[in-house]
Amino acid sequence: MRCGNVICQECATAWEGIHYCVGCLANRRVEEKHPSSIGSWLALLIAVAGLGFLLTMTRVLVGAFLVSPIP
Amino acid sequence: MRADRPGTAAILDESTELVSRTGYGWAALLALTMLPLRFLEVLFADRLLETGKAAGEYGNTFRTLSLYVTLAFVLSIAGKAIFVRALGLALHGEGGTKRQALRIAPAAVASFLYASLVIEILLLLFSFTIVGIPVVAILSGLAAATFEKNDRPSLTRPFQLIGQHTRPIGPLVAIAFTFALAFLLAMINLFAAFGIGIWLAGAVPGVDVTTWTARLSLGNRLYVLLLAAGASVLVEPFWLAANVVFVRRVGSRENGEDLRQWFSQIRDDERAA
Repeated sequence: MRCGNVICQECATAWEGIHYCVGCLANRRVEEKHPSSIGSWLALLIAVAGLGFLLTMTRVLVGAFLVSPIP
Repeated sequence: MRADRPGTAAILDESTELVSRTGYGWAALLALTMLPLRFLEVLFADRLLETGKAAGEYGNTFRTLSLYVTLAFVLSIAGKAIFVRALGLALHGEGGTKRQALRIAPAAVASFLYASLVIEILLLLFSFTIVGIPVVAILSGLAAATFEKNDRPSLTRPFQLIGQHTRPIGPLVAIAFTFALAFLLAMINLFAAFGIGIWLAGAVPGVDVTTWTARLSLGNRLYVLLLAAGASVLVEPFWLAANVVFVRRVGSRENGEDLRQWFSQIRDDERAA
């Protein structure tokens, strides 16, 4: 259930393996009509790029720190 | 009231069956996308151990190598997303066509990649603690198993979904412990398989196995790292399947699907009797 509420099996609709209640289905329909905003996409993509860079640098720093006792 | 809990043994049984039901083609695709990452990680670790204290003098080399590892990480996330989707379709009896399994919502993949990057950074930061590694491994498994529920791009939703599925914690810890043992067993099996291979090759006239015996020994650091990489690729499909089954069981308890399945099983048993 997307909303996390507890409802009976008969009231839930499974779609692509995910269970939806009436409210969630209605929200989904609204989202289909009004696709995700560009702002949220932009924020996610910037976060992914930033985290990718951070991961690349963290790997080098942590690696160098872990092997520092090795002569 | 039936006190049904997502038992570890049942989850492991179902996950093994689920991987075979999904088809080994999808597991092979997952392995293909995981191998570049594992090989590059091995190369990175081997070079680091080789240079030791002097690693700081080769900053550019390690940064470039680390960038390749990150790019391979992105590819591995795509492979995981496709495999988890194929598992989900098989689990819900929708079997589906190959095209269906490949049709993943961009928002779900982007959110999965975002959450996985955060978790990978946490893994690196906690890599020298004992408790941190299994905790981060559990989070990583849940991120994969819940990624399809991300139906819109969000910076918080992936972690909310992971948080919603961390209870009951008992089976999650038990699954992580089981897979840690499975990883060790896979390493031992791989080592034994290569050992048998060399032994058999030694029986072939004209084949000199002396060099290979030295290369494929536990004294060779690169070989041990490659064994670990191979073991993780072997265990990965079952690890993901166990997490998918766990998340599905937790979800089914919320909407009563477990009770429905239980009644259906009782009816089937009665008919069989």
